[in-house]
Amino acid sequence: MPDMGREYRIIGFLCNWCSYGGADAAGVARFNQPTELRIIRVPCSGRVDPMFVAKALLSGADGVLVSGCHPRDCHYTEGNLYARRRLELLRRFLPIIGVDEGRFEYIWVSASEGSRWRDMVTRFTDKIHALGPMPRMAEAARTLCTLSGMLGVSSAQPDVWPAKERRRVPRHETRRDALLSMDDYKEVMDGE
Amino acid sequence: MASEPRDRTEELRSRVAEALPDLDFVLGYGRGFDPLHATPVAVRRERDVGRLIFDPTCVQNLATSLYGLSGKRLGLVVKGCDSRSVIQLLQERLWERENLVIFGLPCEGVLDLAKLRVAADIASVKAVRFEGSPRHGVLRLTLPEGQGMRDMEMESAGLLADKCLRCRHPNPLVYDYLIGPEIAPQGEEDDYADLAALEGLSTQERFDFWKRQMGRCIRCYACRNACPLCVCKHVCLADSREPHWLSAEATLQEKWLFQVMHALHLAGRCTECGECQRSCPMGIPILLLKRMMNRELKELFHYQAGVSLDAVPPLHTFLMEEDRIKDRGLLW
Amino acid sequence: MVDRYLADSALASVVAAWALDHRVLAPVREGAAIVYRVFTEDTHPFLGRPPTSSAKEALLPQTGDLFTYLYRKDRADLTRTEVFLSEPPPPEPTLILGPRPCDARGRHLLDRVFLERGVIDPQYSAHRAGTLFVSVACTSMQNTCFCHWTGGGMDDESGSDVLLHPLGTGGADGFVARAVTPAGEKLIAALPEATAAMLEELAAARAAAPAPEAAPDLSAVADAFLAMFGDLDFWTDQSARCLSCGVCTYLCPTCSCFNITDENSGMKGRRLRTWDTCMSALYTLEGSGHNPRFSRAHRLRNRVGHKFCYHPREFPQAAAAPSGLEFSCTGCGRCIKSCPVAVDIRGIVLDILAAAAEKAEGAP
Repeated sequence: MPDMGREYRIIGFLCNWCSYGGADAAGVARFNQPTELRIIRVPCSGRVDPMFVAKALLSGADGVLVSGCHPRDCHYTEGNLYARRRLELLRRFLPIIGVDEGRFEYIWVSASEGSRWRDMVTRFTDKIHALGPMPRMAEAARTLCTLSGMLGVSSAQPDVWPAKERRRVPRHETRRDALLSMDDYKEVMDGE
Repeated sequence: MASEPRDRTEELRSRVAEALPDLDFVLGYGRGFDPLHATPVAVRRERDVGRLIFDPTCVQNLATSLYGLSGKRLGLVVKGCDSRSVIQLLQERLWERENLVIFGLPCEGVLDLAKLRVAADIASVKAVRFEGSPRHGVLRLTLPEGQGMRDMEMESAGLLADKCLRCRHPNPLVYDYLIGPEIAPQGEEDDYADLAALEGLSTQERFDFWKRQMGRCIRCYACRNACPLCVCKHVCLADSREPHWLSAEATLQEKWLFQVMHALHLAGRCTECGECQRSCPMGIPILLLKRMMNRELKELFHYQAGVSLDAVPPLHTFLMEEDRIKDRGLLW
Repeated sequence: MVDRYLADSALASVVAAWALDHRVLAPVREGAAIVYRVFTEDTHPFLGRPPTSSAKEALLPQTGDLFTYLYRKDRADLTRTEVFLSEPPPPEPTLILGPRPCDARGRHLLDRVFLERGVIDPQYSAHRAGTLFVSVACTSMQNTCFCHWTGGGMDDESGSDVLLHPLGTGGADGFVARAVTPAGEKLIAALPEATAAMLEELAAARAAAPAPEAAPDLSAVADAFLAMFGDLDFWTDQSARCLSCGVCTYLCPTCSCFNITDENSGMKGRRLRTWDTCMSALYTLEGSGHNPRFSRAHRLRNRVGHKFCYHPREFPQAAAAPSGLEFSCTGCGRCIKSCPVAVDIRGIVLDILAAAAEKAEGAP
């Protein structure tokens, strides 16, 4: 079910020379745009280490958008051409680790394409809303799946893992939030 | 213990003895603490040449030690799969070919001790005997007396490492001495059939699958340290505080992110020697990730790492018009 | 104390009863490994083989918060920042099922580090006080086992609260449960008494079990180690194959080294204690860039030395091993079994003894 009411966390890596300018142009033109994209400016799409994307997605981002200059139009001539290979590989890699391929996209937007930027961001944000929140590492596994034929799950050694929630709620988890309230802290020192 | 024809080990020993005077030492396999384990040995003197062995227990990829030894003149015993790691190191100019003497041994497969543990479930073993070739022969285990178990005989094909069952490079691709007859590969192309099961899962199921597998990681980094191409060693990003990629916590997120980092940093370099998975004390199927990545690389860039000395790694180059990449900007 | 009987078919329900008021860590088979997991109703504990990981994680978790902290700006005077600390909640009462006698003995060795060196570690001692060990006696020794070298044995009771003696192959016919401590006695109080026939079967199985090869005389190993300490060639040879990974230290029931790091997030954060491994070059890397143990030879020497020389010299009055020394090693053999390159600490110890003897002979 598309969850339209909820705020999502979407990270955008935008190159300084084209896409950041494009986003700026969209702002100057006062286009209506979704507000969930948090932009990080990078010198070039070639600066985007695929690990940026992986870390963002595994640390709580619901989607990541990378945008650079159009091919042949890179400020550094070929940065986006290297990026294209890396990012395409990453796009194919993410589903392997269980991240929906729709959560990551790379696009090309030039500094003059303010309306194109608006369209892209709107579509990407809609797509993330349709996908819902990124599953979290800390949540219990929802399904018990095994791979037949793999050593890890041969009949001699069933791959056993508690898929259901624990019956007894462990104290640590119930207190975790409480830890962040001021009452639990005792003042120990007065710093400068 | 001796599955290999005696003369092949003998030939290896005599070739090593021959080359030794020009070398600092030769890295080869010796017998480990029991007949199922081989262990890397450094042969420095001619009188130690007799310690060298070669049989299906020689599982390690000795190219892993190479990078830490640069500057030395070295002999190295390699199987077919190990030779691909050597090629990759040479291609990346992390070693000089002229300082390396390679003793290549065509190989029909090595044992997967985890498989043996599952199949035999034995506490200890007194003697091991391979009869016939590893692909078609049998493995005879002599067990210690008094444990209420009889000696065992198993088809050795079922105990070979998965990589050996689909091996396309049983013969070393680079060598100075080739010891033993060449062996036919197990098929021409890798069809990646083993990935179908994981492919068949939904995205959510895959996420959960990895979550469960990674749950038992202890962050010992054996996978990294056993990898012949992980050459950053103790300046690895995983240990770095600045930039702070990973925290010290033993959480799923950190464990998983490390494996993702390992796979991404090996994209276009991994030769699927499987040392990461073999070294994992927790039996996490890490090689699966690398193979998934390699299949995509092959499909996208028609590239395979560690088979040619002068190939250009796919992520070190680009084409103005990529034939396999759709232009993302026009997609919507 | 009375010997009681735990039927194999009753295992799950008995453990489930324990789990009502304990966090139960039970060994389960996952892939080719046997790891401890928090017990839930669909856990199938597997007690047939020693777990891949040691029981250390019950007493010294791989990571844990030492405290959390919070900075707050003084609203009246923005140049002042106050720091607030909060201790983590006390650990839950824990029961670990399925450690072997070698793991249970590791408890005493961890105590030496965290409780008996003048400073009492509050977190460790809380874990220690709240954790019960329900161990399983061994019926055979693996190729990598050498507990008898260090004073242990297949049915050694020290460190356990309850020791389960398997009946039949690997406990197929259940277990004779023997309480070692009063807390253990309470755990198994509801179980039926073991019959005389079971005790006879147990005694017969024990008598029939093959005796392990005699342990070597290790009484001179601490001195021999010191004699070999400066012989770097010896250590280079021994460590040539080592990969510097953390398998041996992280799986070890007695390795106790840890690192302390802060995980900051804006105005708050946590101070963590995490396992550390002396096999890593980073372990001794100093802020200046200098590294006193820069090679694998130095690092492997440290690990062997700590276990077989520094520890017995630091605790000379404790004499548990047959050789009159207490080692900080229980002979579980995990470092040998799981080592990717088959480094064998037993072989290194024997080589030390031989090399030191050779050296002594050559000296005069």
